[in-house]
Amino acid sequence: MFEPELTGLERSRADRLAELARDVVGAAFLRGDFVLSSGARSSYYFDKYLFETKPAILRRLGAFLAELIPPQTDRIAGPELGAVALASAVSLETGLPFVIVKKEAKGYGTSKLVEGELYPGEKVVVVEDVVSTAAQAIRAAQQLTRAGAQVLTILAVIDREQGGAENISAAGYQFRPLFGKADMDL
Amino acid sequence: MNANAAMTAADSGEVPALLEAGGLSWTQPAADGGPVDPTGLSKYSALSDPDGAERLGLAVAERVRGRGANVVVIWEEPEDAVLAHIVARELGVRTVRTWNEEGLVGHAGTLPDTPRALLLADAFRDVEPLLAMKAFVEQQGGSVVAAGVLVTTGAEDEAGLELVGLQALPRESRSD
Repeated sequence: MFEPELTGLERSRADRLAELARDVVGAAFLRGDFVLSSGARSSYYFDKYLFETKPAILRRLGAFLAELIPPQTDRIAGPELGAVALASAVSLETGLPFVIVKKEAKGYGTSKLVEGELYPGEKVVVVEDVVSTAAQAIRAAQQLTRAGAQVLTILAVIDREQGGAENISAAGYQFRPLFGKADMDL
Repeated sequence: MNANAAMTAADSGEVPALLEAGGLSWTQPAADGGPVDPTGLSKYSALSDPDGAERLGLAVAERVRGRGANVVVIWEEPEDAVLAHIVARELGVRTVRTWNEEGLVGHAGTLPDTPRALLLADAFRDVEPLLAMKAFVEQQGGSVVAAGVLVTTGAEDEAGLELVGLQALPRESRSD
């Protein structure tokens, strides 16, 4: 298969991305017998907090995810809780404002599902941390859609490749992960 | 209360009224004649009708009695904890609460040795919590004896679980 020769700049970017993947794995990849909320059993788990709480990793994730933001985007969205730090990082990188999408509206207080400013018709990009079946990312996208926003795409740091991409597509949204399993060299 | 001697809510046909008193209702977003969307089910709240919750809980307990459950397992919802308390009390077993903890199944409470679990909710609006609870129980060396609900939605079939329900989700709207 023909592979175009990379320029120095492109090679540098690819190297930096690969280095980031290694750092994410080094920080957050755990082995064990895990029960995922999807009901699947897994011999490994990414503890997203272990990479999202390290500024040296979070800053680079923000920069690489920002590259995937379509130019017409009005706002970033981060599903609570883990992806809020990512949404913040992308927001700081791009200068775009962001909203926090809650898992569920409480029956008390403001009962809001989307925290922050969101206006009907705005074009929004959802930023997620780790996608397995993508249930939470899809739920967040649907909540934003119901709130009148247009969800341009769902971004994720890691796609565990357990049906998430297919589920997102079936739900009518686009999906772009930063890393798949092959990129993580698991 | 000794439920064995009492006529349960299910026997007396009062389930629909008790569900309504507890705020469980369903709406049909589109008048297409299709099945009611289970995600549109509002949550049953025992707090709204304590006496009704007692009667519904007794009815579920009577239906599952004899299946050998030694623990009641619920998912996330505090409203289900009240229902679970009634059912577990009648069965003489404990309750374990589970939830989605950032992609993993978290739990509070201790499963018995060799758990035989009754998965309980007012209704399962999608299959994922059922699969999560089932996988959790199985990881702990146990099994699921049944899914117990007030209103069946079909999610239980998707999960391949035996079902004990008081009422099926109707095909027609009962919206206001």
